[in-house]
Parts: sequence; C-alpha cells; structure tokens
Amino acid sequence: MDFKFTEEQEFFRASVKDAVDRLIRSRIQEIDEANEFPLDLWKEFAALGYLGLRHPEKYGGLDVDVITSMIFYEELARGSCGFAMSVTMQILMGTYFINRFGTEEIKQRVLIPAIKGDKIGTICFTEDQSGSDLAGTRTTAVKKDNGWVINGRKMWITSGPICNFCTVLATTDPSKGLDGLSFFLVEKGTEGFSPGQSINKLGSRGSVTGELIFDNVWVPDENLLGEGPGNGVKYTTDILNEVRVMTALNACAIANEAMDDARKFALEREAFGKPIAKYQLIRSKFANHWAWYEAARLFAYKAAWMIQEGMDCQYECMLAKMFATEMCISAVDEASRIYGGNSFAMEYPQQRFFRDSRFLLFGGGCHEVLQNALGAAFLRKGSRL
Amino acid sequence: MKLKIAVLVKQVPDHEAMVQVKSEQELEIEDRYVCSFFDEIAVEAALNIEKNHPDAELFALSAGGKRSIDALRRAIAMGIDQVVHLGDESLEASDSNYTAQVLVARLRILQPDLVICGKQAGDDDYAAVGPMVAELLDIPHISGAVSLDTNPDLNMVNVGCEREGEIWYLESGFPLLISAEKGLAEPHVPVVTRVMKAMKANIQNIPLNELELHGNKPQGRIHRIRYVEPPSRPEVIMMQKPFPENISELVNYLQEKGILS
Repeated sequence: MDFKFTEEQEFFRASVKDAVDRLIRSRIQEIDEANEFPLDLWKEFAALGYLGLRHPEKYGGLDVDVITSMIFYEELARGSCGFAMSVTMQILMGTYFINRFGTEEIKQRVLIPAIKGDKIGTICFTEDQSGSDLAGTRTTAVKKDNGWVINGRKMWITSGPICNFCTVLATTDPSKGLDGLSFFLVEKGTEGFSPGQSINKLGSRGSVTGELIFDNVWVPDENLLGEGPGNGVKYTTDILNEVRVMTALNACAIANEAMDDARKFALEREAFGKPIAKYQLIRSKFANHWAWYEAARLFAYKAAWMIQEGMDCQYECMLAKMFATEMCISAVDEASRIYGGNSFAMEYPQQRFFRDSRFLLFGGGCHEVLQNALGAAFLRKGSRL
Repeated sequence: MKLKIAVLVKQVPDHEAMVQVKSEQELEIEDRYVCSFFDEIAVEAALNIEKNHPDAELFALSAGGKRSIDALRRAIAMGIDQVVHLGDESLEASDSNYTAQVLVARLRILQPDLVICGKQAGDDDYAAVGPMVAELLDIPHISGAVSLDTNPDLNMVNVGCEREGEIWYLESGFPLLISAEKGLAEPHVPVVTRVMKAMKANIQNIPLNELELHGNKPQGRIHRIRYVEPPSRPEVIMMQKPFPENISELVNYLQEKGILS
C-alpha cells in the first residue's frame, strides 16, 4: 500500500492552492455578502483552463485522472464555497452527459465553450417534491416530431438562473419509475425554457441557485443524452460517485479551514491569564477533530482511488460523503465553540463555515436517504461489501 | 542579437510555515515550501523580456536538494521550458559561496547574456548568491531592480533600482546580472496546461561531480555555529489611567524601575 500523493500530484495541489489563494481567497467575504455570481472572477478563473479538467484534450480539456481532479476540488473549496459550487457544477455534473453522449455537433456548440467558460452549464435532478428520490421525478418528456417535448419545473439548480444550457432529467414513462428516466440537453433560447425564482440561500452564497421552467420545450432527438430512453438512472450512478467524493473533500476543506482559523484564535485569545489553547477542554476539541478529519480525508481519497481503478464503489462513495460531511458539521460546531461569542459575529469567518457546511448535507443525496440505502446493503452483505 | 537569459530560483519555506529551533544544530521546518517570492518575480521579468524579444532563449537553474525541483517546476508552469537542477541534498547545508560556485559552473557553459535572480531568498535573506555569481562570472550586477528595459541590438540594458527611497536609473551592456525587487514584474497565476506540463516534466539533474568546482568545498568559508531561539517579547504593561494622567503614571513607573532618575 502507498498513502502518499506523487510528487507531481503535490505540485498540482500547490499550483491550485496558489491560484485559489491569489484569485479567490481575498474575495471570499465580498462574494458571500454580495450573494451574486462573480462573473469577472469566473472569466479570470476560466482563463486558467481548470474547467476542462475531466474532459478530453481534443475539446480543450485536460483529461486528468480522478484523484488529481479530487485534489483540485479539495483545494478549490478552501476559497469561496459558493464559487466552488459553480465551478464544480461546470466541470462535473453540468457537462458530464454532454461529453459522454453528445453528438460531435453538440460538443462543438456546447462543450468547447463550456470548457472555456463562455457558456455556463448545469444539471437538473431536483424538483419541488423530489430530490434524492429520483423515482418521484414529475418532469415529463413525450416523443413528438423527431424529438421530445419536455414539461416540468426543476428546483435547487446550481447556476440555474444564469445557465446557457442544462442537462435535465425527465421521465419518458412515469409508470416505469426509475427505469423511465432519461437526460435531455436544453439550451438557453429554446422556446418554453426559462428561469424561475432564485433562492436566497443560507450558505454557498455567490453561486446562483434557483428554478428552471420547461413549458412545452421541444428538443430534437439528438438532445436525448444516452442510449435510448429509460437509461438515465444507470448513468447517474457513474457521475454520483464522483460528486459524492468531491462533496466529501469539500467537507474536509471547510472543516480544516474552520479548525485552522480556530487554532490561530485559540493561540492568541487569553482567558484567566493564559491562552485558551492551554486548556485541556480546548485541546481535546483539536485532538478529536484531527482524528475525524484524517479518517474522513483518507476515506474520501480511498473512494476516489476506487473510482479511478474502475471498482464497484457506490457504497464507499456514499459512506465517504456522509462521514466527511458529518465530520465537517461537527468541526464547524466545535470551532465556533472555541471561538466563543465572536463566532456569532458576521465580521469573523466562523459563521460562514457554519452556513456553508449545511449545504453539504443535501448535495449528492441527503444522509437520511443514504443511510437507508447503506443500512439495507449492510443487512444484505455485512461491512465487507 | 538573440538574448540568452538565465533565471536562478530557489525553493524556500512558505512564509506561513512554522519554523522552530529543534536544537542548536537543527531547525524544524513545517513541510510547506514554495518558490521564493523574489525568484518568481525574476521568472516573470524574464518572461516579459521574451514577450518583446520572442527569439530570446530562457533557462531556469536551481542548485540544491530534491526540493529544488519544485522551484524549477514552478518556473516551467510560469513559462520557462528549459530548466536544470544542479547538485544534491548536500547543498542544503552549504554556504552561499558554494551555491554560487555550483551555479556558476553551469552558467559558464550556458554563457547567458543576462542572469536574473531574486534580490534575496525567502528563507535566509542573505541576498548574497546573486552578487557572488556576478563576481565569479566577472560580470557587472545591479541589485534590487524595479524596472528593466533591454535593447540587445544596441547592447544596452536600462535598469531602475531603489536606493535610499529614490529610484536610480542605471545603464549597462551585456552580460549582466540583476536581482529582482518587488515591482519589477507581477508573477502571473499559471494556466493549468502549463501546470500539467510542469507536473510531467522530466527535470535534468547535473550532479556535483560533473560540474567544474575547482576544489571548492560546501562549507568553505561560512560555518553555521548554532541556532538559538530569538528572545521572547517582554511583557507589555499598559498605563491604566486616562490621558493625561497616564503620562505621570508612566514617568513614576520608569522612576520606580530606575530607568529614569
């Protein structure tokens, strides 16, 4: 076994860290307070080329391996959480099906501008009555005139209100439940496709999240992404594994930022004549965090490695996401206790870590749903899955 | 005239890295290293010259242990394609003179028209290697450059450098060594394609025994005797009374301590 990153991966991490430090970190508070998509930063960041991280070189991408991409997501989350959400949506979910199933014409029209950052993409799973429960999808796609007519409303769509294109999950046969689902490409300007309300979120501010409306939207057959209708869920697992590990590493980054900030505070803040870092109860918080953080990060990278090796790792990815996010939720809570009353003040970053961490609970599947699936799998097979 | 430019780079502890005295003979340095701040400015300055003189040939050199390779990868990521790693771990404990000798051994072969380095390293702040390299090469040097204008056809270099709060504009011909001060160039964030190129680059190493060092020894002239902790900051005592009573309070306190009579 080898738990080290390669020298090349360490260099890549340092380079991403440098980019995040110099372009993003100085603007974290501004982005959070403005709660507007920072288009200038988007253009500046896109020019560095990271948006093509997972896509083929022939379309302007870099085609890096899974672990290298995870290093990127982890470092990116040290900056603005909201901006990181927009970027990861573009790299992963927003363009995944277009790269995998899009025709050459679609890739030229959509994928290449997306890699350059000229077009913003997203994916639409969630509706007002369904999120983790994909079988509850009510958006429909009906065959008509060498194409499909899509009707429905999607909610909680990252970059939805500003997107130039989206991959929308719809049912072509509601009676088949999960087996009736398919993905379709819908582009801005298509008749009947429009943004709805934007959501004023607690955290991950700066990413624009909201509703997308599909009112008799006709798209040609080539916009059905995947082999034949009804295979959507089969493909979903492939991308969800990466999304979940990415979320786990976002959680690790936020937790580490919160605790590192609390560490500096504890070394400086004095109570009863000495720095609070000298008190055992404060030290125990750091010790416990260290253990959980190391475990969560190790688990996340193990899951990433399993994806890279092509192993069946659906449950490991779920576990890694759930474990790291719960670790993060606990870490930001403990960090805020170390910080004391100052953690309640908007001028200090602890409140932002607390708010941003809550978003991780839901992206990639809420934990109650994941636990249900994991519990059932454990009962079937035990822990050596 | 086709310019040949060599940039000297060094990998140093990140300015946020924890550095502690482990013993009189050893420092404990947190494993967070970066290319030295002023060296990145030097790289960017060389790239700026290349923009105006596209036929310029750029090299980056670093002398040191394995860690130096990352400084060279950084130079590649920023835009320099030809890099050379000189020496090995033994250089980490060497003095500036020996480091300069190692760099010069290679520079004599490359014969650059212009050598650019940071004005000082981000770790020891000696600001010694650059001028030493110039002396050993027997070429002029200008330290602390904040502006640079090269005209190879006229064999002319105009350099602005900060002196005593003023900027002096100096003129020289090639060859020349300059050391970069903040303001000479603004290092850019590398694009990811260059980062990937740097990641995958096979960095050439030239071992010490292949360099003509003329019998110079790593610890030839300057010896590290011991490391000591800097004295801790004395306790701060605040005068409690409001102004202007706190002035007499301060005077009384200093008299009590025998500092004022």
